[in-house]
Amino acid sequence: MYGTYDFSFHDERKDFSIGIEHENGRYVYRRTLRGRTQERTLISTGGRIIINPVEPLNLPKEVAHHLLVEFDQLAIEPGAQETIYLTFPIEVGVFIAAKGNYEVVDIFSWNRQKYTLYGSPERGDLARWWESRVSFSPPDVDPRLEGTLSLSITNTTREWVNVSRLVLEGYGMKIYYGDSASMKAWMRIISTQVAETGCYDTPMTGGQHKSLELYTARSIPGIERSRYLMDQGI
Amino acid sequence: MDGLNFSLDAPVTSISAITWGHLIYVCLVVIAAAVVSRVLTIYLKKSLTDKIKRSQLDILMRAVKYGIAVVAFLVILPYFEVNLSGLLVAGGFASIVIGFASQSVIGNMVSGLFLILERPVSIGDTINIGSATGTVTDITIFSTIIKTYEGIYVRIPNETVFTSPITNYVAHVARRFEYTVGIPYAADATVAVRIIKEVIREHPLALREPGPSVYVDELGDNAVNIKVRVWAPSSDWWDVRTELLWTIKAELEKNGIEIPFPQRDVWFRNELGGRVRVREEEPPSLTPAGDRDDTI
Repeated sequence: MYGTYDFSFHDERKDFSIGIEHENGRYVYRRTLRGRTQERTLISTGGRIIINPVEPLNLPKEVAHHLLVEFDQLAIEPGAQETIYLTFPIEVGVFIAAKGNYEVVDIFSWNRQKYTLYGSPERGDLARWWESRVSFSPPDVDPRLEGTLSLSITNTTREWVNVSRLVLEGYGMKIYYGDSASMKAWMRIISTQVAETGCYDTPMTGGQHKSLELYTARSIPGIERSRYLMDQGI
Repeated sequence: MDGLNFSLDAPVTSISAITWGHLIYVCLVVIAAAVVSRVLTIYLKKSLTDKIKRSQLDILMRAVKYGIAVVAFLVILPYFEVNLSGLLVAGGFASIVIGFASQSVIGNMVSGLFLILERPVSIGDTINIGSATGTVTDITIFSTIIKTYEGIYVRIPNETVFTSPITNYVAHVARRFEYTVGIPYAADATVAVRIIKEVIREHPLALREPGPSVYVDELGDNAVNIKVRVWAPSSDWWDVRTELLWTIKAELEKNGIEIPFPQRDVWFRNELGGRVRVREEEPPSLTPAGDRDDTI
Protein backbone atom coordinates (compact mmCIF):
# COMPACT_ATOMS: atom_id res chain seq x y z
CA MET A 1 0.00 0.00 0.00
CA TYR A 2 2.86 2.41 0.74
CA GLY A 3 4.11 4.46 -2.19
CA THR A 4 3.38 7.37 -4.52
CA TYR A 5 0.34 7.23 -6.78
CA ASP A 6 -1.58 9.54 -9.09
CA PHE A 7 -5.15 10.71 -8.45
CA SER A 8 -6.65 7.57 -10.03
CA PHE A 9 -5.42 5.57 -7.02
CA HIS A 10 -7.83 3.19 -5.35
CA ASP A 11 -7.19 0.27 -3.02
CA GLU A 12 -9.76 -1.96 -1.37
CA ARG A 13 -9.27 -4.77 1.14
CA LYS A 14 -11.24 -6.40 3.93
CA ASP A 15 -12.78 -3.68 6.17
CA PHE A 16 -10.64 -1.06 4.43
CA SER A 17 -10.70 1.08 1.31
CA ILE A 18 -8.77 4.15 0.25
CA GLY A 19 -8.73 6.23 -2.90
CA ILE A 20 -9.51 9.42 -4.74
CA GLU A 21 -12.66 9.81 -6.79
CA HIS A 22 -13.56 12.45 -9.34
CA GLU A 23 -17.02 13.80 -8.51
CA ASN A 24 -18.71 16.85 -10.06
CA GLY A 25 -15.44 18.26 -11.30
CA ARG A 26 -13.78 17.90 -7.88
CA TYR A 27 -11.47 15.28 -6.43
CA VAL A 28 -12.67 13.63 -3.24
CA TYR A 29 -10.29 11.68 -1.02
CA ARG A 30 -12.15 8.91 0.80
CA ARG A 31 -10.85 6.35 3.27
CA THR A 32 -12.96 3.78 5.13
CA LEU A 33 -11.60 1.73 8.01
CA ARG A 34 -13.81 -0.59 10.10
CA GLY A 35 -16.96 1.17 8.92
CA ARG A 36 -15.74 4.68 9.64
CA THR A 37 -15.19 6.97 6.68
CA GLN A 38 -12.89 9.96 6.40
CA GLU A 39 -13.59 12.29 3.48
CA ARG A 40 -11.81 15.35 2.15
CA THR A 41 -12.57 17.43 -0.95
CA LEU A 42 -9.44 18.46 -2.84
CA ILE A 43 -9.36 21.67 -4.84
CA SER A 44 -6.66 20.64 -7.24
CA THR A 45 -6.06 20.26 -10.94
CA GLY A 46 -4.18 17.04 -10.27
CA GLY A 47 -1.23 15.80 -8.31
CA ARG A 48 0.08 12.81 -6.46
CA ILE A 49 -0.98 10.93 -3.37
CA ILE A 50 1.80 9.70 -1.09
CA ILE A 51 1.09 7.01 1.49
CA ASN A 52 3.76 6.15 4.01
CA PRO A 53 4.20 5.34 7.71
CA VAL A 54 4.63 8.42 9.91
CA GLU A 55 5.75 9.03 13.49
CA PRO A 56 3.17 7.11 15.59
CA LEU A 57 2.29 10.09 17.77
CA ASN A 58 -0.80 11.57 16.12
CA LEU A 59 -3.82 9.48 17.11
CA PRO A 60 -6.37 9.88 18.54
CA LYS A 61 -4.92 13.39 18.91
CA GLU A 62 -1.48 14.85 19.34
CA VAL A 63 -0.77 14.80 23.08
CA ALA A 64 2.80 13.49 23.25
CA HIS A 65 6.07 13.91 21.37
CA HIS A 66 7.68 10.68 22.55
CA LEU A 67 7.34 6.98 21.92
CA LEU A 68 7.97 4.58 24.81
CA VAL A 69 8.62 0.98 23.81
CA GLU A 70 8.45 -1.49 26.68
CA PHE A 71 10.01 -4.93 26.40
CA ASP A 72 11.16 -7.89 28.52
CA GLN A 73 14.00 -6.87 30.76
CA LEU A 74 17.50 -7.44 29.38
CA ALA A 75 20.64 -7.58 31.51
CA ILE A 76 23.59 -6.06 29.66
CA GLU A 77 27.17 -6.65 30.73
CA PRO A 78 29.65 -3.78 31.26
CA GLY A 79 31.04 -2.38 28.00
CA ALA A 80 28.79 -4.56 25.81
CA GLN A 81 27.37 -3.48 22.47
CA GLU A 82 24.45 -5.45 21.07
CA THR A 83 21.77 -4.99 18.46
CA ILE A 84 18.28 -6.19 19.30
CA TYR A 85 15.07 -6.02 17.28
CA LEU A 86 11.85 -4.57 18.64
CA THR A 87 8.64 -3.42 17.02
CA PHE A 88 6.92 -0.03 16.88
CA PRO A 89 3.29 0.89 16.16
CA ILE A 90 2.25 1.92 12.68
CA GLU A 91 0.36 5.07 11.86
CA VAL A 92 -0.17 5.70 8.17
CA GLY A 93 0.03 9.23 6.79
CA VAL A 94 -1.66 10.19 3.53
CA PHE A 95 -0.15 13.23 1.81
CA ILE A 96 -1.32 15.16 -1.22
CA ALA A 97 1.51 16.60 -3.30
CA ALA A 98 1.19 19.17 -6.04
CA LYS A 99 3.25 22.06 -7.39
CA GLY A 100 6.30 21.32 -5.28
CA ASN A 101 4.52 21.18 -1.94
CA TYR A 102 2.72 18.57 0.09
CA GLU A 103 0.13 18.48 2.83
CA VAL A 104 -1.12 15.70 5.10
CA VAL A 105 -4.80 14.94 4.50
CA ASP A 106 -5.30 11.89 6.68
CA ILE A 107 -3.66 9.77 9.33
CA PHE A 108 -5.06 6.40 10.30
CA SER A 109 -4.05 3.24 12.09
CA TRP A 110 -5.15 -0.33 12.64
CA ASN A 111 -3.71 -0.19 16.16
CA ARG A 112 -5.29 0.86 19.42
CA GLN A 113 -3.47 3.77 21.02
CA LYS A 114 -2.39 3.98 24.63
CA TYR A 115 -0.44 6.77 26.29
CA THR A 116 1.68 6.75 29.40
CA LEU A 117 3.85 9.00 31.51
CA TYR A 118 7.61 8.52 31.50
CA GLY A 119 8.85 9.81 34.85
CA SER A 120 6.92 11.81 37.41
CA PRO A 121 3.95 14.14 36.72
CA GLU A 122 6.05 17.24 37.47
CA ARG A 123 9.21 16.29 35.57
CA GLY A 124 8.15 13.54 33.21
CA ASP A 125 7.04 13.41 29.60
CA LEU A 126 3.89 12.01 28.07
CA ALA A 127 4.61 9.22 25.62
CA ARG A 128 2.80 6.84 23.28
CA TRP A 129 3.08 3.42 24.90
CA TRP A 130 3.89 0.29 22.95
CA GLU A 131 4.70 -3.19 24.17
CA SER A 132 7.18 -5.12 22.05
CA ARG A 133 8.71 -8.55 21.99
CA VAL A 134 12.52 -8.79 21.83
CA SER A 135 14.24 -10.60 18.94
CA PHE A 136 17.87 -11.00 17.99
CA SER A 137 17.12 -11.15 14.26
CA PRO A 138 14.60 -9.12 12.26
CA PRO A 139 11.17 -10.40 13.37
CA ASP A 140 8.19 -11.21 11.17
CA VAL A 141 5.78 -8.33 11.53
CA ASP A 142 2.24 -7.59 10.37
CA PRO A 143 3.01 -4.53 8.22
CA ARG A 144 -0.39 -3.00 8.94
CA LEU A 145 0.18 -3.08 12.70
CA GLU A 146 3.89 -2.84 13.42
CA GLY A 147 7.25 -1.93 12.01
CA THR A 148 10.71 -3.29 12.84
CA LEU A 149 12.83 -1.25 15.22
CA SER A 150 16.50 -2.12 15.21
CA LEU A 151 18.09 -0.94 18.46
CA SER A 152 21.83 -0.78 18.99
CA ILE A 153 22.52 -0.74 22.74
CA THR A 154 25.89 0.28 24.13
CA ASN A 155 26.62 -0.07 27.82
CA THR A 156 29.33 2.49 28.54
CA THR A 157 29.30 1.80 32.29
CA ARG A 158 31.37 -0.65 34.32
CA GLU A 159 28.27 -2.29 35.76
CA TRP A 160 25.63 -4.74 34.65
CA VAL A 161 22.59 -2.74 33.59
CA ASN A 162 18.95 -3.85 33.27
CA VAL A 163 17.02 -2.33 30.38
CA SER A 164 13.29 -2.77 29.75
CA ARG A 165 12.20 0.37 27.92
CA LEU A 166 13.22 2.78 25.24
CA VAL A 167 12.00 6.36 24.79
CA LEU A 168 12.45 8.04 21.40
CA GLU A 169 11.95 11.72 20.59
CA GLY A 170 9.34 12.33 17.89
CA TYR A 171 11.44 14.99 16.16
CA GLY A 172 14.29 12.53 15.67
CA MET A 173 12.38 9.55 14.25
CA LYS A 174 13.50 8.43 10.80
CA ILE A 175 11.13 5.87 9.35
CA TYR A 176 11.87 3.96 6.15
CA TYR A 177 9.45 1.76 4.25
CA GLY A 178 9.32 -0.95 1.64
CA ASP A 179 6.81 -3.74 2.10
CA SER A 180 6.91 -2.92 5.79
CA ALA A 181 8.23 -0.05 7.91
CA SER A 182 11.50 0.07 9.81
CA MET A 183 13.50 2.37 12.01
CA LYS A 184 17.09 2.20 13.28
CA ALA A 185 17.72 3.55 16.77
CA TRP A 186 20.55 3.64 19.27
CA MET A 187 20.76 3.70 23.04
CA ARG A 188 23.88 4.71 24.91
CA ILE A 189 23.66 3.69 28.55
CA ILE A 190 25.39 6.29 30.70
CA SER A 191 24.57 4.90 34.14
CA THR A 192 22.31 2.24 35.59
CA GLN A 193 19.38 4.68 35.48
CA VAL A 194 20.28 7.03 32.60
CA ALA A 195 20.63 6.53 28.84
CA GLU A 196 20.64 8.69 25.74
CA THR A 197 18.66 7.62 22.71
CA GLY A 198 18.31 8.66 19.10
CA CYS A 199 17.65 7.44 15.57
CA TYR A 200 19.97 6.80 12.62
CA ASP A 201 18.91 8.33 9.33
CA THR A 202 19.58 5.13 7.38
CA PRO A 203 17.32 2.32 6.17
CA MET A 204 17.45 -1.06 7.89
CA THR A 205 17.67 -2.89 4.57
CA GLY A 206 18.50 -1.82 1.03
CA GLY A 207 15.75 -0.61 -1.29
CA GLN A 208 13.68 1.09 1.37
CA HIS A 209 12.37 4.64 0.91
CA LYS A 210 12.40 7.38 3.50
CA SER A 211 8.99 8.41 4.82
CA LEU A 212 7.77 11.98 4.69
CA GLU A 213 8.01 13.19 8.28
CA LEU A 214 5.36 15.14 10.12
CA TYR A 215 7.44 16.21 13.08
CA THR A 216 10.45 17.45 11.15
CA ALA A 217 8.14 19.60 9.02
CA ARG A 218 6.67 21.14 12.18
CA SER A 219 10.02 21.70 13.88
CA ILE A 220 12.08 24.85 14.14
CA PRO A 221 15.59 24.10 12.88
CA GLY A 222 18.13 24.08 15.69
CA ILE A 223 15.58 24.20 18.50
CA GLU A 224 14.05 20.74 18.75
CA ARG A 225 16.34 18.00 19.93
CA SER A 226 16.44 14.81 17.97
CA ARG A 227 17.99 12.92 20.89
CA TYR A 228 16.31 12.04 24.15
CA LEU A 229 17.86 11.72 27.58
CA MET A 230 16.18 8.96 29.55
CA ASP A 231 17.03 10.24 33.01
CA GLN A 232 14.09 8.77 34.90
CA GLY A 233 14.87 5.10 34.59
CA ILE A 234 15.62 2.65 31.82
CA MET B 1 10.07 89.65 12.91
CA ASP B 2 11.96 87.09 10.81
CA GLY B 3 10.00 84.82 8.49
CA LEU B 4 9.82 81.04 9.20
CA ASN B 5 12.83 79.14 7.90
CA PHE B 6 12.04 75.52 6.89
CA SER B 7 15.48 74.63 5.53
CA LEU B 8 16.83 71.29 6.83
CA ASP B 9 19.61 72.82 8.94
CA ALA B 10 17.44 75.60 10.37
CA PRO B 11 16.51 75.21 14.05
CA VAL B 12 12.89 74.31 14.78
CA THR B 13 12.68 76.82 17.62
CA SER B 14 14.94 79.68 18.60
CA ILE B 15 15.88 78.09 21.92
CA SER B 16 16.69 74.55 20.72
CA ALA B 17 19.40 73.18 18.51
CA ILE B 18 17.03 70.67 16.89
CA THR B 19 16.82 71.34 13.19
CA TRP B 20 14.06 70.48 10.76
CA GLY B 21 16.42 67.88 9.31
CA HIS B 22 16.79 66.23 12.72
CA LEU B 23 13.04 66.24 13.18
CA ILE B 24 12.47 64.56 9.81
CA TYR B 25 15.18 62.01 10.59
CA VAL B 26 13.60 61.24 13.97
CA CYS B 27 10.18 60.84 12.36
CA LEU B 28 11.65 58.49 9.74
CA VAL B 29 13.34 56.41 12.46
CA VAL B 30 10.08 56.15 14.42
CA ILE B 31 8.12 55.17 11.30
CA ALA B 32 10.82 52.69 10.25
CA ALA B 33 10.84 51.15 13.73
CA ALA B 34 7.06 50.82 13.70
CA VAL B 35 7.09 49.23 10.23
CA VAL B 36 9.95 46.82 11.07
CA SER B 37 8.24 45.88 14.33
CA ARG B 38 4.94 45.23 12.54
CA VAL B 39 6.53 43.23 9.71
CA LEU B 40 8.60 41.14 12.11
CA THR B 41 5.66 40.31 14.39
CA ILE B 42 3.50 39.33 11.41
CA TYR B 43 6.34 37.19 10.06
CA LEU B 44 6.82 35.52 13.45
CA LYS B 45 3.09 34.89 13.76
CA LYS B 46 2.90 33.37 10.27
CA SER B 47 5.94 31.18 10.57
CA LEU B 48 5.76 30.04 14.20
CA THR B 49 2.04 29.73 15.02
CA ASP B 50 1.98 25.98 14.33
CA LYS B 51 5.44 25.36 15.74
CA ILE B 52 5.50 26.82 19.25
CA LYS B 53 2.94 27.35 21.97
CA ARG B 54 0.78 30.46 21.75
CA SER B 55 2.12 31.72 25.10
CA GLN B 56 5.74 31.43 23.94
CA LEU B 57 4.88 33.15 20.67
CA ASP B 58 3.25 36.06 22.52
CA ILE B 59 6.33 36.51 24.70
CA LEU B 60 8.62 36.36 21.66
CA MET B 61 6.57 38.92 19.73
CA ARG B 62 6.42 41.23 22.72
CA ALA B 63 10.21 40.97 23.19
CA VAL B 64 10.77 41.83 19.52
CA LYS B 65 8.38 44.79 19.71
CA TYR B 66 9.93 46.25 22.87
CA GLY B 67 13.47 45.52 21.63
CA ILE B 68 12.90 47.51 18.44
CA ALA B 69 11.33 50.36 20.44
CA VAL B 70 14.35 50.53 22.74
CA VAL B 71 16.78 50.53 19.79
CA ALA B 72 14.79 53.29 18.05
CA PHE B 73 14.73 55.32 21.26
CA LEU B 74 18.52 55.02 21.66
CA VAL B 75 19.03 56.01 18.01
CA ILE B 76 16.96 59.21 18.21
CA LEU B 77 18.08 60.24 21.69
CA PRO B 78 21.30 62.09 20.61
CA TYR B 79 19.29 64.35 18.27
CA PHE B 80 17.49 65.82 21.25
CA GLU B 81 20.89 66.54 22.81
CA VAL B 82 20.05 64.47 25.82
CA ASN B 83 22.93 63.79 28.16
CA LEU B 84 22.47 60.13 29.13
CA SER B 85 24.23 60.50 32.47
CA GLY B 86 22.07 63.48 33.28
CA LEU B 87 19.03 61.53 32.17
CA LEU B 88 19.93 58.72 34.52
CA VAL B 89 20.23 61.10 37.47
CA ALA B 90 17.01 62.86 36.52
CA GLY B 91 15.39 59.48 35.96
CA GLY B 92 16.48 58.36 39.40
CA PHE B 93 14.87 61.35 41.07
CA ALA B 94 11.82 61.07 38.89
CA SER B 95 11.38 57.40 39.71
CA ILE B 96 11.51 58.15 43.46
CA VAL B 97 8.86 60.85 43.10
CA ILE B 98 6.71 58.72 40.83
CA GLY B 99 7.22 55.75 43.10
CA PHE B 100 5.84 57.59 46.13
CA ALA B 101 3.03 59.06 44.10
CA SER B 102 1.95 55.81 42.55
CA GLN B 103 2.91 53.00 44.87
CA SER B 104 0.24 50.58 43.67
CA VAL B 105 1.17 51.09 40.01
CA ILE B 106 4.84 50.49 40.77
CA GLY B 107 3.88 47.56 43.02
CA ASN B 108 1.92 45.99 40.18
CA MET B 109 4.76 46.58 37.76
CA VAL B 110 7.39 45.04 40.05
CA SER B 111 5.05 42.12 40.75
CA GLY B 112 4.58 41.75 36.99
CA LEU B 113 8.34 41.57 36.49
CA PHE B 114 8.67 38.93 39.21
CA LEU B 115 5.77 36.97 37.69
CA ILE B 116 7.47 37.02 34.30
CA LEU B 117 10.74 35.85 35.90
CA GLU B 118 9.22 33.22 38.22
CA ARG B 119 6.57 32.13 35.69
CA PRO B 120 4.10 30.41 38.05
CA VAL B 121 1.56 30.84 35.25
CA SER B 122 1.84 31.15 31.48
CA ILE B 123 -0.56 32.31 28.81
CA GLY B 124 -2.93 29.43 28.04
CA ASP B 125 -2.73 27.85 31.51
CA THR B 126 -5.91 26.99 33.38
CA ILE B 127 -5.60 28.53 36.83
CA ASN B 128 -7.45 29.65 39.92
CA ILE B 129 -6.64 32.90 41.72
CA GLY B 130 -9.01 33.93 44.49
CA SER B 131 -12.52 33.59 43.12
CA ALA B 132 -11.47 33.61 39.46
CA THR B 133 -10.97 30.33 37.62
CA GLY B 134 -10.25 30.16 33.92
CA THR B 135 -7.63 30.39 31.21
CA VAL B 136 -4.87 33.00 31.27
CA THR B 137 -5.19 35.01 28.06
CA ASP B 138 -2.54 37.67 28.72
CA ILE B 139 0.11 38.69 31.24
CA THR B 140 1.04 42.36 30.95
CA ILE B 141 3.42 44.36 33.05
CA PHE B 142 0.56 45.57 35.30
CA SER B 143 -2.09 42.88 35.24
CA THR B 144 -3.00 39.31 34.41
CA ILE B 145 -6.06 38.70 32.24
CA ILE B 146 -8.18 35.61 32.73
CA LYS B 147 -11.04 34.34 30.60
CA THR B 148 -13.34 32.36 32.90
CA TYR B 149 -15.10 29.18 31.81
CA GLU B 150 -18.18 31.34 31.19
CA GLY B 151 -16.14 33.48 28.78
CA ILE B 152 -16.00 36.46 31.14
CA TYR B 153 -13.02 38.85 31.08
CA VAL B 154 -11.33 39.19 34.47
CA ARG B 155 -8.41 41.55 35.05
CA ILE B 156 -6.35 40.87 38.16
CA PRO B 157 -3.63 43.36 39.21
CA ASN B 158 -0.25 41.65 39.27
CA GLU B 159 0.30 42.57 42.91
CA THR B 160 -2.80 40.53 43.78
CA VAL B 161 -1.63 37.65 41.60
CA PHE B 162 1.83 37.73 43.19
CA THR B 163 0.56 37.70 46.77
CA SER B 164 -2.34 35.25 46.28
CA PRO B 165 -2.22 31.48 46.34
CA ILE B 166 -2.28 30.32 42.71
CA THR B 167 -3.59 26.93 41.62
CA ASN B 168 -2.26 26.01 38.20
CA TYR B 169 -4.20 23.03 36.90
CA VAL B 170 -1.92 22.35 33.95
CA ALA B 171 1.55 23.06 35.38
CA HIS B 172 2.26 19.31 35.38
CA VAL B 173 1.86 17.23 32.25
CA ALA B 174 -0.54 14.79 33.89
CA ARG B 175 -3.19 14.99 36.59
CA ARG B 176 -5.55 12.65 38.40
CA PHE B 177 -9.33 12.71 38.67
CA GLU B 178 -11.73 10.43 40.48
CA TYR B 179 -15.32 9.18 40.58
CA THR B 180 -17.38 7.27 43.06
CA VAL B 181 -19.45 4.61 41.30
CA GLY B 182 -22.24 2.99 43.32
CA ILE B 183 -23.34 -0.58 42.61
CA PRO B 184 -26.17 -2.57 44.26
CA TYR B 185 -25.37 -4.72 47.29
CA ALA B 186 -26.55 -7.74 45.32
CA ALA B 187 -23.94 -7.15 42.58
CA ASP B 188 -20.50 -8.73 42.56
CA ALA B 189 -18.04 -5.92 43.32
CA THR B 190 -15.11 -7.94 41.96
CA VAL B 191 -16.82 -8.17 38.58
CA ALA B 192 -17.67 -4.46 38.65
CA VAL B 193 -14.03 -3.55 39.45
CA ARG B 194 -12.84 -5.76 36.60
CA ILE B 195 -15.27 -4.16 34.14
CA ILE B 196 -14.26 -0.63 35.18
CA LYS B 197 -10.55 -1.47 34.87
CA GLU B 198 -11.19 -2.89 31.40
CA VAL B 199 -13.00 0.31 30.31
CA ILE B 200 -10.09 2.42 31.57
CA ARG B 201 -7.55 0.18 29.84
CA GLU B 202 -9.37 0.65 26.51
CA HIS B 203 -9.30 4.45 26.67
CA PRO B 204 -6.17 5.73 24.88
CA LEU B 205 -5.71 8.83 27.03
CA ALA B 206 -6.29 7.18 30.41
CA LEU B 207 -2.60 6.84 31.22
CA ARG B 208 -1.04 3.42 31.66
CA GLU B 209 1.50 4.86 34.11
CA PRO B 210 0.69 6.12 36.75
CA GLY B 211 -1.81 3.29 36.70
CA PRO B 212 -5.48 3.67 37.56
CA SER B 213 -6.76 2.69 40.96
CA VAL B 214 -10.17 1.01 41.32
CA TYR B 215 -11.34 -0.36 44.68
CA VAL B 216 -14.35 -0.78 46.97
CA ASP B 217 -14.19 2.34 49.09
CA GLU B 218 -17.31 2.36 51.19
CA LEU B 219 -20.42 0.36 52.09
CA GLY B 220 -22.86 3.22 51.62
CA ASP B 221 -26.50 3.69 52.63
CA ASN B 222 -27.83 2.71 49.23
CA ALA B 223 -24.90 1.22 47.35
CA VAL B 224 -21.46 -0.30 47.52
CA ASN B 225 -19.27 2.62 46.53
CA ILE B 226 -16.35 1.92 44.22
CA LYS B 227 -13.66 4.57 44.02
CA VAL B 228 -12.13 5.07 40.55
CA ARG B 229 -8.93 7.12 40.21
CA VAL B 230 -7.46 7.77 36.77
CA TRP B 231 -4.46 9.77 35.51
CA ALA B 232 -4.79 11.65 32.22
CA PRO B 233 -2.86 14.33 30.29
CA SER B 234 -3.56 17.71 31.94
CA SER B 235 -4.53 19.17 28.58
CA ASP B 236 -7.29 16.57 28.02
CA TRP B 237 -8.33 15.39 31.46
CA TRP B 238 -11.83 16.85 31.31
CA ASP B 239 -12.63 15.10 28.01
CA VAL B 240 -11.27 11.82 29.37
CA ARG B 241 -13.27 12.26 32.57
CA THR B 242 -16.59 12.83 30.82
CA GLU B 243 -16.06 10.10 28.21
CA LEU B 244 -15.00 7.48 30.75
CA LEU B 245 -17.84 8.13 33.18
CA TRP B 246 -20.55 7.40 30.66
CA THR B 247 -18.69 4.41 29.22
CA ILE B 248 -18.33 2.92 32.72
CA LYS B 249 -22.06 3.37 33.36
CA ALA B 250 -23.00 1.82 30.01
CA GLU B 251 -20.59 -1.09 30.38
CA LEU B 252 -21.79 -1.90 33.91
CA GLU B 253 -25.41 -1.88 32.74
CA LYS B 254 -24.53 -4.08 29.78
CA ASN B 255 -23.21 -6.61 32.30
CA GLY B 256 -26.35 -6.46 34.45
CA ILE B 257 -25.02 -4.09 37.12
CA GLU B 258 -27.41 -1.16 37.48
CA ILE B 259 -26.40 2.04 39.24
CA PRO B 260 -28.83 1.92 42.24
CA PHE B 261 -31.27 4.67 43.19
CA PRO B 262 -31.41 5.83 46.81
CA GLN B 263 -33.71 3.42 48.66
CA ARG B 264 -34.77 2.63 52.22
CA ASP B 265 -36.28 -0.56 53.63
CA VAL B 266 -38.92 0.19 56.31
CA TRP B 267 -39.69 -2.54 58.89
CA PHE B 268 -42.84 -2.29 61.05
CA ARG B 269 -42.75 -3.68 64.56
CA ASN B 270 -46.26 -5.19 64.29
CA GLU B 271 -47.72 -6.94 61.32
CA LEU B 272 -50.14 -4.56 59.68
CA GLY B 273 -53.57 -5.85 58.79
CA GLY B 274 -55.38 -4.33 55.87
CA ARG B 275 -57.99 -4.78 53.25
CA VAL B 276 -57.44 -3.74 49.69
CA ARG B 277 -60.27 -3.69 47.23
CA VAL B 278 -59.79 -2.62 43.71
CA ARG B 279 -62.62 -0.53 42.37
CA GLU B 280 -64.28 -1.28 39.15
CA GLU B 281 -62.95 0.82 36.27
CA GLU B 282 -64.20 4.35 36.74
CA PRO B 283 -62.79 7.59 35.44
CA PRO B 284 -60.49 8.85 38.24
CA SER B 285 -61.64 12.43 37.76
CA LEU B 286 -65.21 11.49 38.80
CA THR B 287 -64.11 9.84 42.07
CA PRO B 288 -63.49 12.26 44.95
CA ALA B 289 -60.30 11.47 46.90
CA GLY B 290 -62.31 10.95 50.09
CA ASP B 291 -64.40 8.18 48.51
CA ARG B 292 -61.48 5.82 47.92
CA ASP B 293 -61.97 2.25 49.16
CA ASP B 294 -58.26 1.43 49.06
CA THR B 295 -57.81 1.01 52.77
CA ILE B 296 -54.95 -0.55 54.64
